[in-house]
Amino acid sequence: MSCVTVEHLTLVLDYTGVEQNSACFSCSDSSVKDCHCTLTFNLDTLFKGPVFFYYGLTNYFQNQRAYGVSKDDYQLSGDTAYFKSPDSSCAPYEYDSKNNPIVPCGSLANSMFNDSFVLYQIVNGKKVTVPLDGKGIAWWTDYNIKYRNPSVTPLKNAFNDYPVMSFDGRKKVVFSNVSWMGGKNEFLGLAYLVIGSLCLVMSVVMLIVYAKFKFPEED
Amino acid sequence: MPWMNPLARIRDAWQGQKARDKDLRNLVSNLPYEGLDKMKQPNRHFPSNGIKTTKYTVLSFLPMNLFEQFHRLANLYFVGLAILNFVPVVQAFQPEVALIPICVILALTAIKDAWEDFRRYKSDKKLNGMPCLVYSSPADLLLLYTSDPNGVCLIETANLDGETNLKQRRAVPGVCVTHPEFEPDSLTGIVVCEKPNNNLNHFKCYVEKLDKEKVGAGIVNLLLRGCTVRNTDYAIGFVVYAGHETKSMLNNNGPRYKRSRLEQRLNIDVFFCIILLFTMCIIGSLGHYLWLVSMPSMPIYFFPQSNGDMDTPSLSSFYKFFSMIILLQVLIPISLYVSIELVKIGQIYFITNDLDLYDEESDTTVQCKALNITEDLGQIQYIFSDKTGTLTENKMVFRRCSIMGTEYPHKENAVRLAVINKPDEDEDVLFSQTRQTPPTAKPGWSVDSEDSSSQEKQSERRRSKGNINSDVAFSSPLETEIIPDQKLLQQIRGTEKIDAYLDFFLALAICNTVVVSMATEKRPRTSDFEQNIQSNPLDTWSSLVKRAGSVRETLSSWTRSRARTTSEASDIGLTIQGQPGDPAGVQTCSLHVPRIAPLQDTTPVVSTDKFCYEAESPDEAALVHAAKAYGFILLSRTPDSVMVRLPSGAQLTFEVLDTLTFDSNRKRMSVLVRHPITRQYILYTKGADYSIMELLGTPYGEKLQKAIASDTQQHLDCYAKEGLRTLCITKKVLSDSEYESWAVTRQQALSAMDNREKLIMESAVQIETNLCLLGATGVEDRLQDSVPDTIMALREAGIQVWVLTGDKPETAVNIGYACRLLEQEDLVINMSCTNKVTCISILDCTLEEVRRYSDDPRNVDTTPDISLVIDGRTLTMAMSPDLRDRFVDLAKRCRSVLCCRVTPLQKSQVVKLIREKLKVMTLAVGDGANDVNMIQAADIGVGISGQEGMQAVMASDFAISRFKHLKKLLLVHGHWCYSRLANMIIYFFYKNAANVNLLFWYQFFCGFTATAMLDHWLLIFFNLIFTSAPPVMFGIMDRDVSAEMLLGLPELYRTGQGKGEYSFLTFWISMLDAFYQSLVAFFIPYYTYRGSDIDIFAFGTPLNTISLFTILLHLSIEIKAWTVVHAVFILGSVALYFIITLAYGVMYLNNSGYWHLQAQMVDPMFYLVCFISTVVALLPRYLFHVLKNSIAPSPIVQARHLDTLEPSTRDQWIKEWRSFRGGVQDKTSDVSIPPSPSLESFADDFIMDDDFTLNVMTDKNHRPVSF
Repeated sequence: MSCVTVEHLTLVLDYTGVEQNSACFSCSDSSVKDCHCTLTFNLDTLFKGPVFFYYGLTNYFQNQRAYGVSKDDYQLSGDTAYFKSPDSSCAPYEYDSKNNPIVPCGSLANSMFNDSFVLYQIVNGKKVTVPLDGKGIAWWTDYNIKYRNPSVTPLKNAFNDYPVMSFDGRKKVVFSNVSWMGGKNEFLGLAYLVIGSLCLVMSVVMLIVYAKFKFPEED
Repeated sequence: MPWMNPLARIRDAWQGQKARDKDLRNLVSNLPYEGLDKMKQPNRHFPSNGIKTTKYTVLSFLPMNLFEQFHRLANLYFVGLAILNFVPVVQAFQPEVALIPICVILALTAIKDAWEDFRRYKSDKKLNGMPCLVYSSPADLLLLYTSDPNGVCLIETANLDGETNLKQRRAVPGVCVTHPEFEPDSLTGIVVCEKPNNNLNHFKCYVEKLDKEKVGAGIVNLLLRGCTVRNTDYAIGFVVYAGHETKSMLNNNGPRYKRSRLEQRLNIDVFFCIILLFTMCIIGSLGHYLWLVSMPSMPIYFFPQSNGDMDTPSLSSFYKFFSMIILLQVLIPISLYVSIELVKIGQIYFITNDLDLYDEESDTTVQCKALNITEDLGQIQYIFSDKTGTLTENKMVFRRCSIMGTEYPHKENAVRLAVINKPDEDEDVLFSQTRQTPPTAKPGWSVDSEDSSSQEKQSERRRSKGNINSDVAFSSPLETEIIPDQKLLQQIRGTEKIDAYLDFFLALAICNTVVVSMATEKRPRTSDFEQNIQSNPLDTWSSLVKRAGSVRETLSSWTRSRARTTSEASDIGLTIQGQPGDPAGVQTCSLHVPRIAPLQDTTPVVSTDKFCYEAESPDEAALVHAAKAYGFILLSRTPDSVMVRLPSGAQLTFEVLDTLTFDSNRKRMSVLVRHPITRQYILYTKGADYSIMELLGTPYGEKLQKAIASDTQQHLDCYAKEGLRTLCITKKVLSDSEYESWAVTRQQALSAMDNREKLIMESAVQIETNLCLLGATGVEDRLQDSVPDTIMALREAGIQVWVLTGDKPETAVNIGYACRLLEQEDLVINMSCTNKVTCISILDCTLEEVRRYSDDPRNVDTTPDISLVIDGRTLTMAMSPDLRDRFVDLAKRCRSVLCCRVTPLQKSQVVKLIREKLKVMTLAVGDGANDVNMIQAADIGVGISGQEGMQAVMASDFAISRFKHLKKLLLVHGHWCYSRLANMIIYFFYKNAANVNLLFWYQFFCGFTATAMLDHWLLIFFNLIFTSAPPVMFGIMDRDVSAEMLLGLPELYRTGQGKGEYSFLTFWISMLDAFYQSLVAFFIPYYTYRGSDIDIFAFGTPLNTISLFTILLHLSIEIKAWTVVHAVFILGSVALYFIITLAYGVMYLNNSGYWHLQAQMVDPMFYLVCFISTVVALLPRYLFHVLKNSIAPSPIVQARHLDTLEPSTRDQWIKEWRSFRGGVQDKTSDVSIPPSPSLESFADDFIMDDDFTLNVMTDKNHRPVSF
């Protein structure tokens, strides 16, 4: 099923480097520091903008309970009283090694994906950096009302060394021109088709049944 | 209060406890101690007269109510889980949030309890503040003095046991100075009485005077709290029991708590749910273990405990088991119990407000005394019914009599009754016609002016139409107006010499406990001053004077007793005032007499005096009225004398030496009198024929007596076959020496403290020998209206009806035919045997025969229904341990069973036997004290508030006023209650399972770590707010078929019997459906959003929405009768969901639901997912419903369809349906008139063998079957 006006396109590239011949194989070993690897790909069709750039991790159970509850809602909503004494649910990301409180505390806020990406377009054999725009990816309310954190420290010194092999995970980069949920998924369309035709058949069956078994009113 | 040593205080309290627990109590008069402080009062240990029925006080409410609520296992379970949630390692919710549901449930229940308690508090307050000085007794009083010179006080105990007749109470003689004036201070002795108990008819007490002389007292000396004093100006008594210890309060048990069968069944399913929950939790815990061990090494997103260690997988999965229980706890429906209670309150409201169950005559509607077994009404399989007063009116009408072996058929009387039988005729019109006939025969003795008498008549008519409370008991014109038999009338008039005839009527008039009052004295409740004055012009002045006096009395006594009721302990000297302006009944009677006395020979018909006969049993009243019709008029009765006017006009005053009251062992009563002229001691006895016949002597010579006895017996049998109640009347003349020796025995028996009842009975048996038979009477007890119709309907509804009666088999069989319990073409098995061997053989033969009969393939279509008639003696044998299985097997195959001559105990034994052996739902219905056992033994006891008092009603779960109301109560309300509640409970299980399973499926995607994909608040709101009201409304309001159809097609009732709609299967089907629906509601969104960047709570939002729509639309499929209320509740729930979720979404401080629904609602995908998931989830159920209702519709569905047709077509259909189902042949031929065969047709249909009888009657020519 394809849309008529805007084609929803998604490109997924695995860069975990599990396979021996992969360019990123060396990076799959967590003992290797400061590892760089390059993936080369072609786009067959034009991605209409805006194109979103995601990173993806599989098998990463963010929704496991211990991970999910490890946060301090009061801190996040800007209550400064909680800055000095974070909620105990944040442990072990409650205080740092110097016993200073961590803000924002908890595993949720402190598990930082520290791979960094640079996107180039190869034009005539020359790498031209494609600019990544970080604006407009947060909800307006998140940004303006809810999580007005005092400071957002930009992620510096990022390396491609986020270990995923411990949980048999995969690292991916995703390009997509569809935002939010959805993505390219044919399931719903198929479901509508199947159920729709099923209902049609059923209604015919019911009609026949009704005609045959209806309450004989004139008798 | 002065300071007191605490030790002394404790000692005093302990002594008080001891005094209260002692079997005998010592009480003394308070009067000498007046003004002393409380600790010096001798009676301080006993409770005061204040009534407190509330359970709680303001302070104790919270702890006590919580304590009581925690007795419920379900509450404990939920509190335990909430506490478990505070343990960090197993936590699944925010601990505070998890407390909310249980708190809400506890609070709701507490509010309900508080409200009930507050209502009790208000009624207590009203009761305690009630100035009950005029004519009702405020506490249990030992009567010391009354206004009556004989020390008699008449009371009416309608408030206590519903008996509306007058009862005599007597002052305890010789304990106080009463002459010339009563002196309360003269009571100096100690009153020793038994511990308080709830027996209204029994009281043991004696007064020990200072000189150690003991004076015994019993129930005849006790004025009970709540009884009404009548015809007595004032009465003074000594308070023996006050407040909660009074007999009326001890009898007031409040509503009973029975567990309904549905609830028992429900608990099994709760148990299944627990198993299911554990299974799911084990799966979760195992899954967690596997997930943990599948990790190649420690994942980066795992976080150690604060000490740096990680739990081992096995320990961690052990913890997860408990987390899972907390997460999935809703699988056991927490709000189910409180919802059920709410639903039952609603159902009871609808039942009690049904106008069809309202009886105009008695101004009563159905009372639901047991609050939680309404749904059992829809599952009844066996009904055990009393006969007299339940199937019949208990309005006795004298029909015919036999004197000295000669039968007097009273044809005119029969004609009169037959005319009244016609349903269209108005009883009142007929009554006034018969009354208007004899005015010419009424000589000018009447002082009433013409218009006042017409006014009187009108008022009388109004009374007979009006409610029963205001009416004098047993005196509708039907019962009082008897047309005498001409032949018998001539017999009496012509041959004055025949003493036996005279004796017969004298016995009718004397041998009873009927109290005479004047018609002009109305009940205080209905008394009308003006009316009183007008109708009694001569009495005006004197009554005015009297009234003035009594008003003064009232005032003084009021102030006096006011002062005393404030003192705390028991009290002496409360004065009770009779109705002011009431001419004192007994005296007035004698005042009237001289005016009547000069009357010469008047025709007996004229006796339309304003006498009111107030009898304990309606039979007695009927006989007195019969005697009156022949001119033997009972004028007055005091404890020591009875005055009778003879047809000749002469008045005789008999001295009553003793009254041997009726008891169920002797089955007879006697009155011992002394003849005023002959000075003979005469014992008149009347009783059941079998109890009399064996006591006959031979005063007229053996031959004559035998001839009379056999003739009379023949007449009696004939009466019985006609359905009449029979009594034998006898006389015995005692010699002086005989009497004197007996009197000594009697006196000893009366004064005995131990074994008193037994000795009294023995003394009675001793004198009731060698009786001389005078004759017999036949009294008709008419069937209540619509009884045959009701029984037919109940039988069609698949209910087996048993009638248990104390009457003889012939009477019972006849009534059985009349009320269509037995049909003419039925096979009637009559079992009656005297020894066990024959009983066994009969039982075996009959069983064999019945089995062969019903198993015979040729008989499949033509088998007549089998009915069993069994008498009490045989029943006892049949119910013995070795025979009971065979008996039950036989009874099971019988369509109806008639048990005759059974005792109250047997009644309950039968009910218990059937209930336990066949495991069926039983209902017992009765009206009298003799049915109480049976009512309590059955699953449901129904009391009929009729003529025989309130004992049955008090013991019952439901109280109705007519038997016919049973039809609607069971067929309509029972069916509805059951089907509503059953469907609601199943829906509740389904609802919770469907919702909570979503959480379970999610566990497969979060490593089984008990994460919820929804915000905790929304999760809790889902069950508490969004989906709680519709099922309750469904349980109260839904109606699967209309009342007309349920009444028109009684067989629809069968759907509820046995397992009914709420069975093992229905429960599991709906649980499976819940699993299916939750799978759909989870996996369609899952596959839709798979591979997208949707976050956990954004994913949960459509799940919750789909779940809500599925659950509410599922209910919509189940709802059978849509009303505006249904729509409002369902749409309201949807609206509430969106409003609350949206509002919650914008709340500044919330954990996880922030702005999610808003975000989803702008995405078309959300609507697409919700729509298709809901459709797919409901498709199977919808399809199943549609196909089943089209291809194989259940009777209920068919009936529902019929309901939509035009009335004429519908009736046509109902008729065809009923005949098609083979239930009933259309026999509309005058069902209300009982077949009354003439004398001749009854030759020897019943082989009254002295050994045993087994008659099998089929068709009209009752063919005896021999074995």
